[in-house]
Amino acid sequence: MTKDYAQLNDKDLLEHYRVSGDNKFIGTLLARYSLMVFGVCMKYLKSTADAQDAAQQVFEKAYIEADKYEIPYFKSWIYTVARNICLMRLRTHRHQIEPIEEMQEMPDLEIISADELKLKEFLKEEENASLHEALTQLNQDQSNCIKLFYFEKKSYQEIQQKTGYTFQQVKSHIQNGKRMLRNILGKKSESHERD
Amino acid sequence: MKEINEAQEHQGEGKIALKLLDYINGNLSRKEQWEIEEMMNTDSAISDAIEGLKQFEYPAEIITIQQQLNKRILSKTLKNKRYKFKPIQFPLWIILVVIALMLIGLAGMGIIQLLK
Repeated sequence: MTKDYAQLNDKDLLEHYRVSGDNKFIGTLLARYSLMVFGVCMKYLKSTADAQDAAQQVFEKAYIEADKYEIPYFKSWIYTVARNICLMRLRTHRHQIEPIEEMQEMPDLEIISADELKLKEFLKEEENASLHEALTQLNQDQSNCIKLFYFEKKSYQEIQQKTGYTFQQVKSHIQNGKRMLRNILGKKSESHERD
Repeated sequence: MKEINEAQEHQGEGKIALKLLDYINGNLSRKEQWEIEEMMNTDSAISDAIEGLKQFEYPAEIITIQQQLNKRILSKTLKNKRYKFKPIQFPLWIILVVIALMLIGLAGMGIIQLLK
């Protein structure tokens, strides 16, 4: 028999957990994100055993703290918890240290910024002359990857095959290229406003 | 485990998180694959998770790990509800009587001190 609570959205599951204290609600929620949490821990800790331990620590923290704070977006919250736990472990083990402050600067993951939405729309206008002009300001790798991904709708794997880049390189060329385009777009709209 | 599986099949906010394994295994349609990759460009959680999961040479390992993690979640889920602290509430008259007794005690001590 299907349990009704398994169909609830994140916010409702959290609310039920807060009110009843019943672990089945938070457990359902954690199962939804268990692989994501483990993947994030793997990225930082690079060891299966450490990542499993860290993920377990994240879940324990969620059981204890999920009803103490107002959590508008569970996915963002659990990601932040996972990342902080990994950074603390790295710090404890005197491995590579990444500044915690970076966390505070990160935008809310669930809210796509107005700039990002503008850029999304911009990238849809394949024939737009100013888009092509902006693309010429990127380096060749970034411009190639953006064209293949957004105009030709190629997957990362297809771009890898076509260009010989690694998965990580494709990802960073697209992300850096998008950041550059956002800056170019921002400057353009500023100058339009001045005119 | 069945309840956990149902939770995983939920098509709400966790939809993308649940598609991660299919993405890693290459089981998504071209369109779905592209959508996940587009999300990676804006969503650090998905981007980091995929980067982490990509470290596995054999995705079958990930399934085993996920099952282990979910088993632990389930075992905790099956435990009783967590204990909620409820403060003990005394009736007002008991509080007043205790205060009165304390005041009488203090007054008594004061009188004894004066008589010494």
